[in-house]
Amino acid sequence: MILEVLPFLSLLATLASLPRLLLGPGAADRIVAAQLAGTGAVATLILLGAATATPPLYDVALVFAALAAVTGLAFVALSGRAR
Amino acid sequence: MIAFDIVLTLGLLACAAMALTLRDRTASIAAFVVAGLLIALSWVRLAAPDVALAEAAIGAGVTGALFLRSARRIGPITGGPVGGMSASIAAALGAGGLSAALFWAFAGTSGPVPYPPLVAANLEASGVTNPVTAVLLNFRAWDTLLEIAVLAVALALVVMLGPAPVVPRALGELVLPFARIVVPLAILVAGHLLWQGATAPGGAFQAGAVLAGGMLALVLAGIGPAGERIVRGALLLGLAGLAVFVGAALAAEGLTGRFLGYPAGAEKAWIIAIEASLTLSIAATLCLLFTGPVRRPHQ
Amino acid sequence: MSAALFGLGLVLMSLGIVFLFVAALGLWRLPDLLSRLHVLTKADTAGLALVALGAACVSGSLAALLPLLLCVVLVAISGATIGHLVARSVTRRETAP
Repeated sequence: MILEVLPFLSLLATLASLPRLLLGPGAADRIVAAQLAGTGAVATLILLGAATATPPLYDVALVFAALAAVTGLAFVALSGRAR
Repeated sequence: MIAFDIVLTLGLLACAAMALTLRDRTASIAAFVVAGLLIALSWVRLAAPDVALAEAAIGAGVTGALFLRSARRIGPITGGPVGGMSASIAAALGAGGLSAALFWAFAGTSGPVPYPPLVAANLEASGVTNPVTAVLLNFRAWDTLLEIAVLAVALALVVMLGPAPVVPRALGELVLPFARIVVPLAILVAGHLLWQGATAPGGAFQAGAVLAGGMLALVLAGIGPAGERIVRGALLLGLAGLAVFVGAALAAEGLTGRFLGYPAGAEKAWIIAIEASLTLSIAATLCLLFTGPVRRPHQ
Repeated sequence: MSAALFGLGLVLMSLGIVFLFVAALGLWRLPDLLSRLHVLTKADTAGLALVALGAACVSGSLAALLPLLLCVVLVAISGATIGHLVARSVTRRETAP
């Protein structure tokens, strides 16, 4: 069923940011890759919720979305005067 | 869905390998954060949305920030892996042995698991309809009380050790629109999770972690008061969770004669009241773990 | 009516996934950090918005609409803020003496 294929594709898109995380080159590139994977995870959760008709999963996605920025904010705030 | 599970597991293993082997602290932390996302997805696939919520809240938000803070404190990696090759081999053997033992234990269990039917049979008496909350705050509230004690001990240790505070650079006006939207929404989502915990996946830990994420966003943005008094207040709030829980346990014992045995008919009110105070306490604790308990004057 | 809505939802979700793949491709192929930030702020946000809209069509309940809408708003503003902050810190470091 096509509804079950969509979360799989979205998971592939999420994992596709891993090469950039591995290669960098800068620290900011890796954080941006992690941020992108976070959005992908939100999309995957929404698609899983739609595919299995379990709206509680939307709450998990919401928690991800609400906290997605904290790591990025911490990175920028802490990297300012490094070294 | 089997393809989804296989790819998810492979991606998780790849992230774990990257987090362990990359020779750059930011890269390791980023890989760890992505691994946390995939672990939350795994919990969803294992039909454990409560754990998925907790993993999403702790793993996605607060842990990454805490690790980045530590990385900033200890500086970049120098030299080779600690302990060299032999340490890696020993760790691999230990992990392999543990996995084998777990698999052996898992394969050895047979027959139906006795716990879920037991919970389902007594759910009526617990005051809530979410079996996970019923176990955590009623049937096995003792365990949760000890977990809160662990958090309080962690906070006390941080206070005693008094780690040098890391003063993040204030991010300035760019963050203001973000903070104006995200912080109220974080409070809203935390309240939603707290209230919903009685009937559906949610609860104090998840709500507290979301609240802590919102507070961290405020701290990182350099918005709001950051005086000695505020930090003291947060410290009191962090330790108050344990005090309220113990007080409630003793009061319940006085009323019903059973430790943590809530009066019949009022279970839900007791559970929600305890969870509400735990939410605030967990949020304050997580925030203090990041900021450090004492704002010494910065040289 | 509901079958048409379901079909529309599928189309929107598929389109959103295409955007997510374009975002991943951009993260991979674009030459430098500042270009890659475009991926985070635009392609990704558009992809998630389409996915959420499609999921709202498929699930067909108004109660599910609110968390989906909040998800999109939060991710959009997070991506935009992080993108701006990272870009600012990078350009400042490059132009500083």
